[in-house]
Amino acid sequence: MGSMVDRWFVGGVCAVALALAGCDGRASPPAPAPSASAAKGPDADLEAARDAVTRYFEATIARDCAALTRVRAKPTTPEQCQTTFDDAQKRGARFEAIADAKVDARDRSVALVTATVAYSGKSHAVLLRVTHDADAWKVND
Amino acid sequence: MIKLSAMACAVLVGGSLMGCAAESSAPAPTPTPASGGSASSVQGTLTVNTSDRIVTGTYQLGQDLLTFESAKSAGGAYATKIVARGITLTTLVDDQAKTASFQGLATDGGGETALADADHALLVQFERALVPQLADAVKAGNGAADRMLRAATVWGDWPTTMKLQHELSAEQSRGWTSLCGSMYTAVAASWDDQYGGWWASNTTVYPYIGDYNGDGPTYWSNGTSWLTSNIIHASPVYEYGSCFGRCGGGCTGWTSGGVHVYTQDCTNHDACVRNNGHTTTDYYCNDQFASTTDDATFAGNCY
Repeated sequence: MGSMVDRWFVGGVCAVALALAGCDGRASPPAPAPSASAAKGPDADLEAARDAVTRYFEATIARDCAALTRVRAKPTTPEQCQTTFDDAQKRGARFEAIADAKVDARDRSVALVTATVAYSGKSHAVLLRVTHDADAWKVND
Repeated sequence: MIKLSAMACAVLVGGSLMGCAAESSAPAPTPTPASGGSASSVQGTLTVNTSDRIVTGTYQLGQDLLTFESAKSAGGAYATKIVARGITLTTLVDDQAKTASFQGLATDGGGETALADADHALLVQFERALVPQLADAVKAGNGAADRMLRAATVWGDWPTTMKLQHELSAEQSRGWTSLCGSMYTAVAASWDDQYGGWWASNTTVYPYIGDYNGDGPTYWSNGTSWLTSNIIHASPVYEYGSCFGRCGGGCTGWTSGGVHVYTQDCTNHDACVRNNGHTTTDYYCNDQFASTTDDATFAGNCY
């Protein structure tokens, strides 16, 4: 499957794209203004982003609402904490490791952190955007 | 009061209930198909150019400009591209081989990126705007229009916590179970969690499939009354609303057509998302979402 898809991307996309706009990346109709792709701040601190995701899952498993609120990007009410904790408990969620961390290619102030989390009996990759806000790295879940 | 036979309803064939659909002693929900769509419910401005083999257009919502295109290659495969907010989302579909590939990359430079909430919100509104504009072309058999709508459906439902790359090779016998024959009946749906696993009593619900209230709320019942609050882990639980079972977010229940694919996997995904305290996708349901991509891409329209 992988090799076939690779061929698709090399050959298929270009074959179809020739009918659209060519293979040079130019879109037709015009490409959008890059408002969202411009970096909004300094490059993401990947170590800090990894640490934020680790604390996010540790707080979730420990049912620590104060800690979760500190690291979660969205405002979090006690009820939302409860929902998050109950979800994790229902699934038997267990944080395993940080598998990867890299800078977001369209916004270098954002980190993309992939965590492996065990739930429902197996490991899953969970991709989380980590953004810098108010002098802290916050997890967008 | 809805009363389904628990014993009879335990009989599952392909995940669907047999003989459970209309066996109620009190009001089942009343379908009001296609109530969800109206010109006033569409946000933003959409322009579409449609020909036999190519669909192109733009969608403007606030400050965001989205461009899209869908085309059939000489070899018969379709490629669709959605460009918005610095992301390029590409879908390649080979109807003959029943293979498809989904990939999202940064528009500038092609590096890895991920959907943010604002991207997701834009894609949801884009799909809603696109459906009425392409519906006639889809019904007339325009493959590029059909592929464009289906790609918009998948990307509009894509979880923000899932990598923007997915490949699938579908076989109908095992890839999807159409629920077109079960419209407006209750079918069993399930997900897995720590408490029960697939098809356990506390991870199985019985949603009525189809358009009952447009994009209105989901209703739950344990057999006494219909509530808008989640009563999961009551048993049994019946549900309806917001086009339960439709592949894609929400209803977009336009009379003029569109993509109205209803399948078992899409029903299971809806059940996972709606019965776990969420109204949007969350990472515990990513597996179920991945299972819906072949359904949304290849399964037939129910109406």
